[in-house]
Amino acid sequence: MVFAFTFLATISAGWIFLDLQRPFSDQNTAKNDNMVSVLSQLGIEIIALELAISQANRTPSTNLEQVRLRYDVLYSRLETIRQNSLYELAPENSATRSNMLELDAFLYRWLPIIDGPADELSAAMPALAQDAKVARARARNLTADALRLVAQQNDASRKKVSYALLWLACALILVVGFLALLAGAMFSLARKHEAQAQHTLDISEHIKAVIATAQDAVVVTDDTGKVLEFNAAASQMFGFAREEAIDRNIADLIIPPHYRDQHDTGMIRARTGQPSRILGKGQIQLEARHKNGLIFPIDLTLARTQTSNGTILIGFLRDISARVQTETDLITAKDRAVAGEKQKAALLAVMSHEMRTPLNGLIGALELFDKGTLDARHRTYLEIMRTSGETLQRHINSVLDMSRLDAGHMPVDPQSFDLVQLIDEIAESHSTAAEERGNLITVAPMNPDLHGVFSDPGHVRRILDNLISNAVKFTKEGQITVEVDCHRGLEEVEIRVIDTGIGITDADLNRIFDDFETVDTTYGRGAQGTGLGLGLSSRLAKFLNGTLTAVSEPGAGSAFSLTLPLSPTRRAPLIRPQFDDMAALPPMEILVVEDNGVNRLVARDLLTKDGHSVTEAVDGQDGVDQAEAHKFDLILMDISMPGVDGVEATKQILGGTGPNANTPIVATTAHALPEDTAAFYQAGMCGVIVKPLTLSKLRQGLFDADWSRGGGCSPDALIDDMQLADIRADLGPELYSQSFARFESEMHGFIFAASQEQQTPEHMAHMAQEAHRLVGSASIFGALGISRCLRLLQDSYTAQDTGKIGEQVDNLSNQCDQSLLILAPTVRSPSSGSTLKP
Amino acid sequence: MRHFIFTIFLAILMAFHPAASSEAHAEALAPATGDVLLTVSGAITRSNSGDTATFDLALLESLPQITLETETIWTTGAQTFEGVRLKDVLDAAGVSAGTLKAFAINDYAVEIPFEDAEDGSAIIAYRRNGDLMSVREKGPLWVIYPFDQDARFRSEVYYSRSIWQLDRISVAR
Repeated sequence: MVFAFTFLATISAGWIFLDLQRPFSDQNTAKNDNMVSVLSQLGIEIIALELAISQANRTPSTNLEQVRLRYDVLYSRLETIRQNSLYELAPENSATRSNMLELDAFLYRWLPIIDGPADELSAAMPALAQDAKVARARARNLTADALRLVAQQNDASRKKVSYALLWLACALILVVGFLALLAGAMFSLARKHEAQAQHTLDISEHIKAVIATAQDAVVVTDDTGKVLEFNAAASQMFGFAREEAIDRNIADLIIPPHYRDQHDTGMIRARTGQPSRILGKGQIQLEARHKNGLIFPIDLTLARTQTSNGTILIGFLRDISARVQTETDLITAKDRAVAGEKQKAALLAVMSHEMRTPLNGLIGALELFDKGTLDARHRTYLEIMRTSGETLQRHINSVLDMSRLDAGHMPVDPQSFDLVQLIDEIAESHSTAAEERGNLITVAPMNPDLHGVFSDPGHVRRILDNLISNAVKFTKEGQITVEVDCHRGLEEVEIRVIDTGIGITDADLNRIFDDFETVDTTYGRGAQGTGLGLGLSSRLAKFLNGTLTAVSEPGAGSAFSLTLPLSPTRRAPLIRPQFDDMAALPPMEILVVEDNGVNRLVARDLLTKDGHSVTEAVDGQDGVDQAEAHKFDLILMDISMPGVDGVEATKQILGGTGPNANTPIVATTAHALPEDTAAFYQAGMCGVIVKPLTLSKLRQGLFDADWSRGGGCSPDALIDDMQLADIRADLGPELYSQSFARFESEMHGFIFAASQEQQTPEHMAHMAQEAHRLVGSASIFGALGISRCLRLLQDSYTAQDTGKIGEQVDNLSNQCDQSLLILAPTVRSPSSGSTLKP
Repeated sequence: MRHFIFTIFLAILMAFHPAASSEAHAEALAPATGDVLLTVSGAITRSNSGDTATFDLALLESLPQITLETETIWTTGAQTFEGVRLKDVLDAAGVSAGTLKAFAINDYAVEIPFEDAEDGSAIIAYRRNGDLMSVREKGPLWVIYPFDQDARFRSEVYYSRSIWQLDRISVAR
């Protein structure tokens, strides 16, 4: 704005100045000035002519030429005046004009005589002298008039000049004003800029201070690796002073020789803007070199940013020597401890086995005594020996179980079973012993869902057996109650065994689950406990992903509470038939993914012995690649492998679009802890074989997988029963019914919308979104078939592949009809547990 | 700019005219046989009539000729002047420095700086629009500057130097 005004003011001032200059540069002024001198000369020229005439009067012979010359000069003078603007300047009929006309008349009157013969001219001299005198008077008048005219004109132009000067002054004031404004604006702008610069400087100072005082080494380089910044921590870490490091290439400073090539490649990537393996990837563990040549581990975080001077790279480095050392120490310590534990467990197992064999001999031999031939005393002795032997055998078995549990070798056999029936059986089996002590065992009515639960029934039975037998032992003339509560459906089932017995003190309560702890306790002394029962039970509970806790009031009784997850693990086989007929297994093409060469060899030998053909993959990535290339009937997948591990490889294979996306995958692993196993199933595996590999284990594993191939993991299944069971349990019957009704109506609505003819891009984009949303709903109800169809539809809608959509909508409609037919009864009979069974 | 071009134009003319070279004037000035139009007197080194150099039309026409088309404030419309440069006239009279004073038939006198001769701007014209000029037509000689070609000549100073009816030049050291 100010600029525009100033510009305008300057332009107008310039124009005024030009206007002002015009009178001075005007040719007319020069002409007029010149004219004045010409006019003033006019009188002189006439006098000169008169002079020549008077000389010619005296001596006509010699001076006639002089008269002619003077006439000619006068002639040219008048000619000049006539040519001049004075003519135009002088008004018509004015004295000036008439004077000029008179002078012209004088000139032309005498022209023929001047140009005529000398004697005629000589004779005319007196008349010419008279006429010239008159002309002189006229010329004088003309000069005076002309001078006045010119003066008037000059006066006008002086006025014009003074006006112009006034205007110029105004314009100048304006310009100066605007310039002042402009200067003000400039000043304030400069102030602003200065403040901004100061702010930037402050920020830069802050950053400098942050970098300088940072605990981490901060190194800034340009994109060629030239060091631009090297903070104090970096100097400390690498041994180079800041001045020493600045302007040198980072590669020559801290990059270890064996990383040099990688570093150079990385710098080229950074320069050319290719995706980098380090840039912006968070903390990367690498190695760096100290000035003294020492190589040490570092954490590096590298960032790239654009500045006005080009790309710069900012590296934050942390010396992690101590951490890495600690980690190494910890790993070593852990390895040692694990090795020690394993040795201990192995020793126990061997010991137990070695003790059990002779003990079995002893007990067997005791049975051989003919009791009829012994007297009463010996019979009592024999009975004591037999009871002691059996007790010892139980103890040894417990120790054996304990060591198996600790070593992770306790076989787990999860399956569907009827918990109600199991509890009834156990209670029944203890009823005689209870009655002997005047006790009554009561089983509270149970949730009907508990007819179909999923866990290892053998282990559950052992724990409950132990708890009820303890309750019976420590209660006299009392009541033993078994109650079962479903806290989160079957996810968390609590089984309580409550007695009205002697109870346990708080101090003892903390120790009863420890091994061998019952021996010294009142609780233990009251009866012949193994001292391992509760410890074993507690371990078993943990092994089944549950907990075992106890509360007690001395003298009033105790309550033991076993909490277990009893719903089926997702994708785990529901009912696993035991393998008994190896002839039932057809020859299969099997991919063995295993990084251990010996294990690979064993697996190959064992499998080829049974007539299968084996392809080997040496690690997870290799496994994924091979699975991409060739279709297999089954994949055996080692779990712990360098790089891509078994779980990841399984996810990639099953999640991909390769030929093996539906192939059953069986885990082979040395650690089959339940939480791990759950992860394997979660990844989509169909079974687990615990190493070391044996023929029977392999056959069982293959059988399981083959079974699951027939249905358990089938990609063609309409409904995921486990998912359905989960959602029903989670939501409860009422909410489930509501949700299902909504899903049903949404599906019908979608199919209706999809059947419409109109397929505009907006419509298809909307339908793709809808399909995506409904995939989520369908998955919640375990409606696998519907999910599959919806996914395909979503893809087609997204790709706007109108050719496929029609057929896919028909498929979806069919799948929907079938699936809803299966799902509908679950709403009408909400308490039924039958959907758990395939 | 115009002046510059004009100067170049003059320089080219001079370079190609046989009389332009200084050797041409090494000889003595030829005597004027016709009516004397111009008398150069004073500090001259070459003469043909006593201690003055006199020029008739033939002598002037033997010098490098120049044609200049320009308007003047004393005439109407564009005028074509033919003549010689003042410098060439002075060269012919062997004048290489000094103060010039030009006189008209009626004894009107004006000083012309030597630079006007030196830079070739001042011209002594003897033909206007193809005809010799009579006294009545401000002849026979008229000092003309290239008014149209260069604005600096369109000033009172140069108008006053544009002396007509020129017949004498006196040179003072």
